[in-house]
Amino acid sequence: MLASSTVFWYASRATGVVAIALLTAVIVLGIAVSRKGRLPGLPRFAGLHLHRYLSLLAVGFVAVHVLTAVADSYVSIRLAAVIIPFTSAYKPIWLGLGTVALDLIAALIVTSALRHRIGRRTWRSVHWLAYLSWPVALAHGLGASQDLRSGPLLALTAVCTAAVLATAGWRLTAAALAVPRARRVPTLMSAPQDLVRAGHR
Amino acid sequence: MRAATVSMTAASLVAAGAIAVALPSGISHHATATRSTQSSGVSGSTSGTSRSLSRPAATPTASSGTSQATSGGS
Repeated sequence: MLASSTVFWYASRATGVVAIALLTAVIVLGIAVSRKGRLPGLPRFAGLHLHRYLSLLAVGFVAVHVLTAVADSYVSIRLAAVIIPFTSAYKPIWLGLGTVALDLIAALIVTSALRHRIGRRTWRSVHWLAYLSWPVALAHGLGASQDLRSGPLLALTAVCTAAVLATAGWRLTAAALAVPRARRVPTLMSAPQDLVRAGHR
Repeated sequence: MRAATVSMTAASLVAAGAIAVALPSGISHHATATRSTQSSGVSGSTSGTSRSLSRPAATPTASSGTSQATSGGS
């Protein structure tokens, strides 16, 4: 049963779990649609749209997660600890990792909002931080509470980790097998001749 | 596309609600144990003893401890 006095406590934990799942989906979609990639069966703009929308949704859940953690009076978490890493009196390392993840996500939001002003190269370089924010957020979740370490939520953690690793592996393999840009034209030009030769055999 | 985003939002909210309800009962031995541990650990450092005693207890153990402390105080 949820008593009124424990609503913030459980709301913070539940929104944290959902935020991890959503951040996983954001990372997976981001990896899939990066560098002209696309999701199977979907046009690229749809993949980009889903990536952006899930990012906003994840940020919403992260915001509720943080606000309910601060609002819950059972554990004292100062507002400064939400922004400045490793300054919390309660579990400073694990909450500090959450703060680092939050700061990285904030940097991603700001640079994405200012993307047209800061230029694509700067935006892309900052956007690489997303690959850092996800494992940091997951470590925060695993260390700060025991929820993700057992039962169905452990299975969820395993699925999230496997999804990110599998998507990253798929993209890295595809990148390794791709023909370098400098060799694309000669390869394409020689392709019809190869087909003709194959037809003569 | 709009249907997909609406359904994802709804699914996320439902999941959060389901987890919040399941944490105290089903998933929750760890959650309650952690919370009672946090109570003792944090109250010492933040002088929140009276607050933690006045809160409804999350576990039977914490409940009995609270009632004893309250009756002793009164």
